[in-house]
Amino acid sequence: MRKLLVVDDVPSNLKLIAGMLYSHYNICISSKGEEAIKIAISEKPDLIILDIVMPDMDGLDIYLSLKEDSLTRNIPVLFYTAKAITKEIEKELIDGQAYYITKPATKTDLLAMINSII
Amino acid sequence: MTDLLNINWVYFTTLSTIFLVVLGYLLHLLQKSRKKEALNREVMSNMAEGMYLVSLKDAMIVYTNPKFESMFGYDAGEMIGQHVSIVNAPTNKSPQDTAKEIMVVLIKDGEWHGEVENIKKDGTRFWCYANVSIFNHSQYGDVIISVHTDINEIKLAKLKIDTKEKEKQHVTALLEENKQVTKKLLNSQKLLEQAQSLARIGHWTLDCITEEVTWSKECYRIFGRNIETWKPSLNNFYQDMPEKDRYSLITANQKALKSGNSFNLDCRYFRGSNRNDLRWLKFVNKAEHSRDGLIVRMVGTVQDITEEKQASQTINKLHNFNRLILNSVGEGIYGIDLDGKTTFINPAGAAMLGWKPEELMGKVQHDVIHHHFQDGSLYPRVDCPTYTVLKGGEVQFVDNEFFWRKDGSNFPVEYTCNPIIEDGVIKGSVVTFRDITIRKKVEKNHWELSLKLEKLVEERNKDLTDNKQRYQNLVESLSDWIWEINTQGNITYSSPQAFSITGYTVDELIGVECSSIVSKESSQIISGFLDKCLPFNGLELQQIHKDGSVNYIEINGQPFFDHDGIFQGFRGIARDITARIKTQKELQKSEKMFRAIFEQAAVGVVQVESKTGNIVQANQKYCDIVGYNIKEIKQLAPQKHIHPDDYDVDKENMTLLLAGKINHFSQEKRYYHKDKSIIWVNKSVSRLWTSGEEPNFHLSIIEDITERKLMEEKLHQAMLNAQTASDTKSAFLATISHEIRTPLAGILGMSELLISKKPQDPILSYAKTIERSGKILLAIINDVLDFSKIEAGKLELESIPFSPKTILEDIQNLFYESAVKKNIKFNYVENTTLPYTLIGDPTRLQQILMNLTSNAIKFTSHGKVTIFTKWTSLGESYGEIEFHVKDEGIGIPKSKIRELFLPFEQSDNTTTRKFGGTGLGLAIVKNLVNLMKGRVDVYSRPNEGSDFQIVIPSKLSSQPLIELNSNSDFVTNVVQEQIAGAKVLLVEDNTTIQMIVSEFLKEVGLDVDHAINGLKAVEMSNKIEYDIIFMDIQMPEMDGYEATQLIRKQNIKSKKIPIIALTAHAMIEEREKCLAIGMNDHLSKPIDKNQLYFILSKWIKSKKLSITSQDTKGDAVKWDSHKLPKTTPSFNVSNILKDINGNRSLLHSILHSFYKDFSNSVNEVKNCLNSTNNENIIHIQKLLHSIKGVAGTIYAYHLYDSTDTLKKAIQKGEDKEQVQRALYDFENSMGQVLIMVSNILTTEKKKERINNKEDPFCLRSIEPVLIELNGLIASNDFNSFKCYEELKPLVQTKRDAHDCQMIGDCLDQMDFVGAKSALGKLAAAYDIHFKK
Repeated sequence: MRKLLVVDDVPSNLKLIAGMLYSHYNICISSKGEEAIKIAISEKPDLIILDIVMPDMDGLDIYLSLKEDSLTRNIPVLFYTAKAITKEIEKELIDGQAYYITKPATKTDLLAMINSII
Repeated sequence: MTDLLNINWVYFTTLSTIFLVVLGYLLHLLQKSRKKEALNREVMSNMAEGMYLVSLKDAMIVYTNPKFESMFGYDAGEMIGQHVSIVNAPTNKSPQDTAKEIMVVLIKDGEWHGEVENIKKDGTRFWCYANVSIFNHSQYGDVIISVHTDINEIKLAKLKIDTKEKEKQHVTALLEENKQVTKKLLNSQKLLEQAQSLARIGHWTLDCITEEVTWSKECYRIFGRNIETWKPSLNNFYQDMPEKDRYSLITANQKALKSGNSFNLDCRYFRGSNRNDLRWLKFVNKAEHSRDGLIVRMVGTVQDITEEKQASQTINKLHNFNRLILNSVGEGIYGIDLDGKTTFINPAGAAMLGWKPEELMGKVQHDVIHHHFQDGSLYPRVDCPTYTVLKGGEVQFVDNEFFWRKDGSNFPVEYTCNPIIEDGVIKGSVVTFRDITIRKKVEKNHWELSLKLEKLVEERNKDLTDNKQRYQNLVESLSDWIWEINTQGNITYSSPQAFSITGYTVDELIGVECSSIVSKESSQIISGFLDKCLPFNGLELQQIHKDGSVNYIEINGQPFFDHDGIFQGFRGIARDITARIKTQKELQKSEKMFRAIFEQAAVGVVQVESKTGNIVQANQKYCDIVGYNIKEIKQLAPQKHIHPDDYDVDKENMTLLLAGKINHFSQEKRYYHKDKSIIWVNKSVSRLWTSGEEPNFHLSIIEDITERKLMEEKLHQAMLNAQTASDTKSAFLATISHEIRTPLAGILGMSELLISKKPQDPILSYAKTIERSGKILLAIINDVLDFSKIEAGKLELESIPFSPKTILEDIQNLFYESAVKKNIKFNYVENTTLPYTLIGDPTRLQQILMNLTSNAIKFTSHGKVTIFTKWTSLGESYGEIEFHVKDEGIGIPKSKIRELFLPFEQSDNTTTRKFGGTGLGLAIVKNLVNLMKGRVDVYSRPNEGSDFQIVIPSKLSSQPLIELNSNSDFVTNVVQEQIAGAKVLLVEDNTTIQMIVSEFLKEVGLDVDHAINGLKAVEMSNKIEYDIIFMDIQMPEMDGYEATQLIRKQNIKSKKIPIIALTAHAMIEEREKCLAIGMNDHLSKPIDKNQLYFILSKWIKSKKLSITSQDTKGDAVKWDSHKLPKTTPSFNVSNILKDINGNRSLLHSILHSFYKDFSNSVNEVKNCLNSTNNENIIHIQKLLHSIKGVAGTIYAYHLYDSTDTLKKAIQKGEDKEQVQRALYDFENSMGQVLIMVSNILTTEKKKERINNKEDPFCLRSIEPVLIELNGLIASNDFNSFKCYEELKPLVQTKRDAHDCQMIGDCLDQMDFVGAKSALGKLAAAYDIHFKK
C-alpha cells in the first residue's frame, strides 16, 4: 500500500481526511510543521497532503523546507486548503512541483486527485 | 493525227486509271485484310495481276502469286527467297538502286506507283505498271506488296509515238502507224477485258453531256444483261437498285460530278431485274475533266462482291470487325470481349472520348466511359446495354445516355451494340457510337419551336372561338335568365339558366306559352304588356316551378321589331328573387318579435348613439326604472341621471368598446331616479356595429339591482361584525389560556416537585392524580389554543425531516398503557415499506395521530384498536403516507359523520358527558390535515367500530435523520459541565413558579437570585452582573417588557446579558414581541425542565470565558433585528460515515475532536471581535478558516455558509450590524451543530458500552497491542487510533484506564509526543519498556 502523509492543524479535519483515505493508503498524520518534515524524512511517504493555513508553520513553509532537503525533494505535494492559492504556490503549481485541490472536496474528488498524482 | 493520238492517249490513260482504281481497290482490300491469310491467299492467288510480297526487313521476296510467276517466267515458288532486285531490269541504274529508290519513297509515303522496266527470268525486258505499298502481314511481318500489270505494249507504242512525233514523221506514215497502234490498243483493250473478266471487274463510262453510258463486256455479265440486246442507261440501271442503294449511288455520283472527286461505294443491285438475285456491287468512280476543266464524263469500275460479302460474314470474325469499322467511319466504334474489356477502338471513337486508342485497350470500357449516369448516380455495369448484349445477343440501340470523356466531361450519345456471334456463340460485341450533342440541341430547339408554334396556333384558335363563344358564354354565365318570346307569347329563346329558376330545360321551354309557367295573376300582367308592346322593368311575377312550387322572379322586357318596324316579340331578362322575398318576410317577422321583446322586456333597454351618447330609443321598463317618460329620456343629459361618483366608472370599457376591442361589458353603477333617489343598476352594454365598421349605436340594458345592493351592504356589515367578534374571541382565548395556564403551571410544577420528593402513599397517588388532572387540563387548553390559532390562520407548519416510524412507536408507547388499563388490545402493525425519513411537521402529525388514537381508545370498551400504515410512491422523491386508526367502539351513525369534524361537535351531545373531551380534537385533526394538504376519511358503523384514515402527501427526505435525543441525563451533564456556577436572576411574581424554576436551576448547580417584579429586577441587575436573566412578562409594578428595556439601557455589560422571557402567552405574536423588545429567547409556561436546560446551555458562556469577557468592551448586540434560527439538520452524519467507510469509532473520535476544538469558538470569536488588537482579528480569521474547512467536510452546510459569511464580513470590515448579523447566524448554526454532536457522542458512547459488553471474547493480550501502538505512534500512523481503540478494553485497573485515556486525549489533539510518553507510562505498568 502506498503511504501518504497528511498535514493539517485541525485534528478533526485530519481525522476526516485520514478517515477518507485510510482504507486505500497507509496514512501518517501530523498537525505540526516540524513534526511533519521529520515524518516525511523517516517515513518517505509517496505523497504529502498539506493544508496551507496553519498556526506555527504554514503549508508553504513546510513545502519549501521539503524541497530544500534532498531526502524529501522528490515527494509530490498536494495542497488541500480552503484558502485561495497565493502567487508563490501558483508558481510551484505552474512549475509542476505541487498540486492543488480545494477544501472541502468530496472523497471521490480527493481520491481521483491523489490517484492522478501517484 | 495529233488529235487521234491524243484520243488514244486519253484512252490509254483512262485504262490506266481503271487499272489504278482496280489495283487501289485490291491493295486496299489487301491492306484491310492483311491479317487474314486465308482470304489473302485466295484473293492473291486468283488475282489477274501479278503480285508479290517482299520482306521489308531484308528485301527478300517472300511470296509471289501464280500470275506474277508466269509474268516473269519463273516456276512456282522459284522466286521465294530471292532479292527483290531480280525483277528489275538493269537500266542506267542498277536493279538494286531502282529497288532502293522505290523503297525510299515507300517508306516516306507508304506507297509508290509508277512504270518500271522489269526483267523476266529469260532476260526479256518489259514495262509494268507497279503499285507498291507497305503493310503488315501476319505471317511475314512488314512487307512490301507490289502489284504488277504488264503495260509493255502500250508503253512501247507510246514510246514509239513519242519518238515519231519527235522525228516529225509523215502524217500518213504516222496515221498508218497510229492505225497499228490503235489496233494494238484494241488488243490491249481486249487484254484488259480479259483481265477484267478474270478479276470480275467491269468498267463503264458515263458521258456527262449526253448521259450516254457505255459498259465493258464484263459489266454486262455483272449486271446480267445481254450485250446484244441491252442498251445501258442510267435510268434503267437505277431501276434495278433497291431504293436506299439507288439513292446512295445517285448522291455519290452527283457529289463526284460536282467536286470531281472519286468515290467508292458498295450497293445492291437486282441482277438482270431479278428480284431474287440481289447482288452486292462495288462501284469505284472517278470524274474526267476536259482540258478546260469541265467534267465531261465519269469513269469507273464495278465488281460483283456478293460472294465476298457473304464470305466475309462467315469466314472470319476479324474480317467482320473490319467490315464494321469500315461501315462506321466517322463514328466511334469499339469492340469488347466477354469481360467487357476493349479489344479495339477506332481512332475517331477514341478521339471523341479524349483518349488514345492504345490507352483504352484491355480496359473495361464501361468503367472508363460509361460509369455514371449524367445525374452523377452510378451506372452499374450489369445494367449497361453494352453488357446485356453479351448476355442476350440482341442488338441494342440506345440514344438517351452519356459517355464520359477522359477530362471528366460527358456528352450525349447514340449507340448501337452488335453482338459478335461466332458459331452461334457470343464472343463479344461491337459498339458503334455517335456524339449527338448537336442533334440534342437541335431537337430541343425544334421542340421549343414547335411548342411555341402550337401555342400560337392555340391562341389563335382560342381568339376565334372566344369571339364566337363570348356572347353565348356571357348569356349562359349570367345568373339571370335571358328569354325571348314572340308575339303569341311563345318562348323562342331561353338561356340555360332557365333550368335553375323554373326547373325546365331549354328544350322543354322552347315553343311553350310563357303564361303557362307563371301564376294566373302574373300571366294577366304579362299579356297586358304584350298587348301594349311597351318595355317593362322590375316586374315581380310569381313563377310556377316545374315541381309546382312558387318562385318569385323579377323580370325586365323590351319589345323588338323587324326591319320594317313590325313588332316581333319581347326579349328580356328574369331574375330569381324568391330568397329576397322570403328574407324580407322573415325580417319583417323578426323585427316584430324584437320590437315586442324590446318593449316588453323586464329590463330597461336603450339604444344609444355611440359618438354622442344620445339616447335614440328606450323601452318602457327603462322609463319605469329611471322614472322619466320616453320623451324626457331622449332629451336627458347623462349627467343628470347618473350618480356623479359613478359617471366615469365605465369610461374605460366604453373606450374599449368604441375601439372595437370588446364586444360588450357589464358594470354596476348608480343612477338617479327622477325623484332624486339613488338607483343601483347593472348595466350591460353591447355594440350594434360589426367589426370593421364605424361605431354607430350601442345597446344598454339596465337592471335595477338596488335591493340586492342594499342586501349586500347589510351582509358586508354583518361579516365585519362577525370578523370583529372572531378577533375578540381569539384575543379572549389567548387571555383565558394565559389565565388558566398560570395556576396550572403551579399545579403541575408543584405536583412534579412533590413526586420527586418520593412521598409515601397515599400522598404520592394524590400528587400523581393532581399531576395527571393538570396535564389533561393543559391538553384541553392546548387544544383550544391550537384551534384558535388554526381558525385565525396563524398556525404554521414546519418542514423538517422526521421518521414516521418513530412517531408511530411513540404513539404506541403513549397509549399502550391506557389501552391495557381499559382491557382492550392495542395493535400496532409495523410497516417495513415505510420510508425512513419524510419531510413534514412531526409534532403536528403526532398530534393528529394522538387525537385519533385517544378517541379510538376512548370510544372502545372492548375489542381492539389497530394502527396501520401504507406508503404509496408517486415519484422518485414523493408519495402519500396513509395512517389508519381503527377501533371496535361505538361507531358513528352515517348521518353524523359529516358533523364529526365540526368544532364542538361529538356524534351525540350526550357523549360529552359520557366520554369527556372538548369536541375540538377532530376539528383540529381535520384542520391540520387540510393544512398538510391531505385528507381525512371515516368509515364507520354504529356498534361495530370506526376506521379513521388519513392520507398526507409527503416528500422523501434526501438527508437521513439524526434523532435528537432528549436524554435528560446528558443534558444535565452537559449543562452542568458548561455552566456550573453561573449566576441567574429569576424575575417572577408567582411564587409557585418561582419555586419550581429555581429548583430546576439549582439542580444544575446554578446560583439563583429572585426578583418579584420588573422594578426589582432592574435594580438587582444593576448591582450584580448576572450570566442570564429569566423574565416573566406579566408582573405588577413593572412588566417584563419595560424591565428588559431598562436593563438594556443600564450599561454596556447589561446590554449583553441574555434575557429569556418566561411567558404563558404561547402565541407566536407574543414570542416575536419579546424578541423585538430586546429579549434573547423565550420559554413557555409551564416550564419544561429539558427545555430550560437547553436554553441554559445555549445562552450561558462557560465560567472561564465569562471571566475573560469581563475585560472586553464593545457595542451591544442588537438582537431585535434577528430572526429566529431555522430548524434544519445541522450536519449530515451518514455522509461522513460513508466517507470514512462506516467507521463509527472514528466518527466518534472526529466529533469528539470537533467538540473539543470548537465548542468555545463562538465565545472566542465574540471576544476577539470586541478587541481592536490586530492579532486577535488574525486569530479569528484563522479560527474561522479552520471551522469552515471542517464544516465543509462534515457536511454542516449551514455552518459552512455562516462561517464564510462572517469571515468575509470581518475581512471586508463591514459595518458592525452586518458583522453582528453574521455572528448571530454563525452562533446559531454552530450551536445547532454542537448540540447535535454532543447528542451523537452520548448515544455512541452508550452503544460502545453495549458493544464492549457483548463482545468479551475478542480481547487480545495487552502486550502486543502496546508494542504495536508504540510503533504506530512513532511514525504518526493514523492506525494509532484504531489500535488505541483495541487497547482501551484491555486495560483493567482504574489507574491504567486513566493512563490509557491520556493516550487517547493526546491522540485526539494529534500530540504524538504526548501520546508516546503516556503510552510509555502505561506500558511500564505492564513491564514493557520502550527505547526513547
